[in-house]
Amino acid sequence: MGWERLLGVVVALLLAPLLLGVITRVKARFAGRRGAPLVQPYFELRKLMAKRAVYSRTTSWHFQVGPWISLSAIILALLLVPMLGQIAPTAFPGDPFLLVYLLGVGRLFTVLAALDTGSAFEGMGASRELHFAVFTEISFFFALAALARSTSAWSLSGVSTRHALLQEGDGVLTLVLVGVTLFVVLLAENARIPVDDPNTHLELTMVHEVMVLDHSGPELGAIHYGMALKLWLFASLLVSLVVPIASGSVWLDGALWLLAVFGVGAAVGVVESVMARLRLLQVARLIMGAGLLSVTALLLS
Amino acid sequence: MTLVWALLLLLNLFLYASSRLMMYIRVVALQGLLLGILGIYQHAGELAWSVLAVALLSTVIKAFLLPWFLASTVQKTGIRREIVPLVGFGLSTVIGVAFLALALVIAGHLDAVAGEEAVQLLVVAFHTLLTGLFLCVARAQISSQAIGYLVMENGVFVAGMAFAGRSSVVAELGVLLDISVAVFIMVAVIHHVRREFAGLDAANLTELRD
Amino acid sequence: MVITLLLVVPVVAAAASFAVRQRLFSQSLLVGVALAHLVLTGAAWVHPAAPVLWGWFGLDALGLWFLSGLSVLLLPTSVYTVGYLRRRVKGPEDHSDSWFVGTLLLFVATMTAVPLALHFELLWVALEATTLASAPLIYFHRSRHAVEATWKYLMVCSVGIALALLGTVFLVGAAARAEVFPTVSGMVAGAGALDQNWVRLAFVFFVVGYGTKMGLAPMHAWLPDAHSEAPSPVSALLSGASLNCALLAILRCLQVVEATGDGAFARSVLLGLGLVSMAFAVVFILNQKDFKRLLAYSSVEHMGIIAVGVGLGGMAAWGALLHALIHGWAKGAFFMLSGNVLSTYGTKEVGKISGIARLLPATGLLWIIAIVVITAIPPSGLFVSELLILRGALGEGRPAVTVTFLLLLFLAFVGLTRVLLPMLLGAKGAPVAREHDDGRDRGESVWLVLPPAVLMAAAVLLGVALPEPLRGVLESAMLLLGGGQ
Repeated sequence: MGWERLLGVVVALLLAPLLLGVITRVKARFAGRRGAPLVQPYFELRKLMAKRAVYSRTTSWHFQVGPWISLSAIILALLLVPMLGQIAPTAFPGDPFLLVYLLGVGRLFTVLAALDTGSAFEGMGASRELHFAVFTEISFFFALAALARSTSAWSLSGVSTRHALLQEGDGVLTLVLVGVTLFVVLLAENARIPVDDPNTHLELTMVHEVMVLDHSGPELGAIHYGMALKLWLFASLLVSLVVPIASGSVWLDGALWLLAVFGVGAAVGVVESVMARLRLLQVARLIMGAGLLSVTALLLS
Repeated sequence: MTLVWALLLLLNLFLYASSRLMMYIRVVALQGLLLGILGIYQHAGELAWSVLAVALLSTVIKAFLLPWFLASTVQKTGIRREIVPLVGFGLSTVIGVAFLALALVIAGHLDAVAGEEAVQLLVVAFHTLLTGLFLCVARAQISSQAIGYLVMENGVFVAGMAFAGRSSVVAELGVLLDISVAVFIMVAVIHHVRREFAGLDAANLTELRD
Repeated sequence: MVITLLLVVPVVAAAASFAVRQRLFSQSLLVGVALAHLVLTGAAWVHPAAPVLWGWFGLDALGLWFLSGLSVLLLPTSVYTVGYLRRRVKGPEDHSDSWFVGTLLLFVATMTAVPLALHFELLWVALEATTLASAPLIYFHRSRHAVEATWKYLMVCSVGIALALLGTVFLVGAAARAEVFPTVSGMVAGAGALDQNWVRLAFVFFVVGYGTKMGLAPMHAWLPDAHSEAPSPVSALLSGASLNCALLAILRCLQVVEATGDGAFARSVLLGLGLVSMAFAVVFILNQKDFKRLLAYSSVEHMGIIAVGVGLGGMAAWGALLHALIHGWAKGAFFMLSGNVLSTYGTKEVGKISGIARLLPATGLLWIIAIVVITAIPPSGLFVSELLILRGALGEGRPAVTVTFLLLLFLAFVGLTRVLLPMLLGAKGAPVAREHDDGRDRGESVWLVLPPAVLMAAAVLLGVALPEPLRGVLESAMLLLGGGQ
């Protein structure tokens, strides 16, 4: 394993909270404010890590362990994702499945931790989260299947290195459709508008935020960091799989790639600023619709 | 041309997913425009005035005149949405994609007789036809049914293009005339139905039965 | 010349009727056009008409057969329409008569164009035009049910005909690829060069599409509603002529299919659909409570019989063509009689009507004759045609078909007589209003009784003896149907 493959993971671990900062900045600018500093999420994490956690008496080990397992799962998943225009540290045929199920493990333990508290709010959040997860996983699989079919590659890294194949006519269509699907999946998995409002303070309208309501201290820090990593993961997937970056020079590739990832973050910020959250019943329609776009790409290739 | 027919297919999928009648009309207008442009492009090689004129007339009618007429009807009748369709919108979209697979299968069988480019057009033709038929059958408002008819006719038009559109000017004009008159009469009957039944719900139109 | 006149005269007359909104003018115009139509068709019998417009419009034997059916039906129907219109209560500002006649004339014009159209795309235009011209007519009485029937008619038939357009596109496309002219004669002549797959596919779409307009099950759902809610003269034309127009369109495609050698496939499709139609019709005829709907389902049954005949081929097809002609006249006459009954009793419900024989004696007598003719009791012409179809079925060695056919005919006979006969007999039912505003009895004027009488007479006449010229044209039509020239 060359060092450049691991570099992507290191960069992710370091820069993921910055992506969150970018999104918040874009939203603030849209609202006419100056917004918090870009590095604000780092301060939040440091503050949380220094605090002591408070555990409710109704919880058991799931509550204490859940956030750490989720975080580990996401870090493991990062190893599978091609970043900086390189192939991933770990790549083998069939790794999309491992990716999705690692994320699933993360989700499972978050849900278990939420249910462990015995609170109605967390339970509600868990059920909504799983409801959406059904659709996002299917749509995600459709998108990956469409890409795999058109590039005849069965690993994520394989798809990212066969961009040239997708440059002609039909390929552009597949890229566009899959890109839309992956973007919608990104919004759904990371609890962004139009699926979930990360800034709402009304528990009944939350999906993801309410699941982690009772966590505090380092666990909350782990959760926030995990969410930042997850966002970085999906943005990386979007850029690596869909956006063709092949300039020849390794350094330029990496720089362009980073720029694209932050561009995706900015796009998320824009979307969050111009749209309102959809009704819960319509969220499933949105995600399935996006998934069906990928099915269309699959059929047409 | 590949991207154009993919765009047409995506437009069809919009028809399955949407519940707003104005969206349907915009999609039909856009379809008419795309098909008109494709038709003119196809005939661009021939310098016959009559052929190009008919293609232009067809574009104007299908992309502007008829959609505008339908839109003003929708506004006049005040029925703008499908509230309770026979088939829910999520299921409709899935059916739409299933129809795409079906159209690919059917056109695939015709591969041997039709030739490469014609097969692509036939996929779009069959899918559009099935979409129009679906709108006629699975939607509860009769204005959606009228729009579905127009979508079906667009589908048949695409099928005609698959044969390099070698039909005569007079026949094309006749078909265009028939479709326009059909839409006019449908709109007139829609107004009468609204007056008699206080609404455009097809579920009300079931009094005649055995 | 003849063809051009046949196409142009009704349209010009329609325009005149719309322009000059005078009742008397419109009514006389209608009868005048019907007379001219008959004369022109007669001229075509004597002297074969020359094709027009590069052979797109022309009159071959098959077309002449169906055109004659329309013509002979038209004159009595127009006379009946005059009587029908005279009977309506109207205000001084009411121009609806002129409007009705104008639309009716357009309907006639489009139905005339169908047998004359030899180019497949023009055939489509004409058939779709018949749907469009007749839709406003169905809505004439402006009731809730009429609106509902009109919408169903418009929607179902237009969707069906859109499918038929797809079939037409395939046919014309196949012709274009083979460098053959897309007229019937052109395609039959060049059948060797046509791609069989496209022609076969086109036929399927033709049958489904035009079959909807013809009333073949399971696409017949619009028929009972439309034919029963329409005013009686319109029902007469719809059942008597427009169903035959759709049949003709299917036959035109059949000609091409036969010429390319796929006749067996096509005919089996028609045979199957024909039997299904008869079965559907029988189910709804038994226990029918509305006598106009009963007549409409009877039309579905008869269209099924014709499809079975054509599907069997040979002698049965001979019988089918004869059946189409006679059924048109007989059903037209029956709808006219039903119009008399409806206006006298004010209801379409069978249970509430009885004693027609006493209240409307002339109509009652014709009613009995009509039942005899429609249920194919000798000397009805329909008996002859159905017998021919049976003989054809036996000749082809199709025992299952024969037995099914006979069974369904018998059931239909039972159903029809069970409903229609009791209406005739019994004590007087409750008439709604028998007098004109000026006190005259409006039960049975000559206008309303003579036309159905004439049509019934014609139906019986053809059952007794088929005149030589008719036989000749029928022979030529059969030849065409078999893929010849």
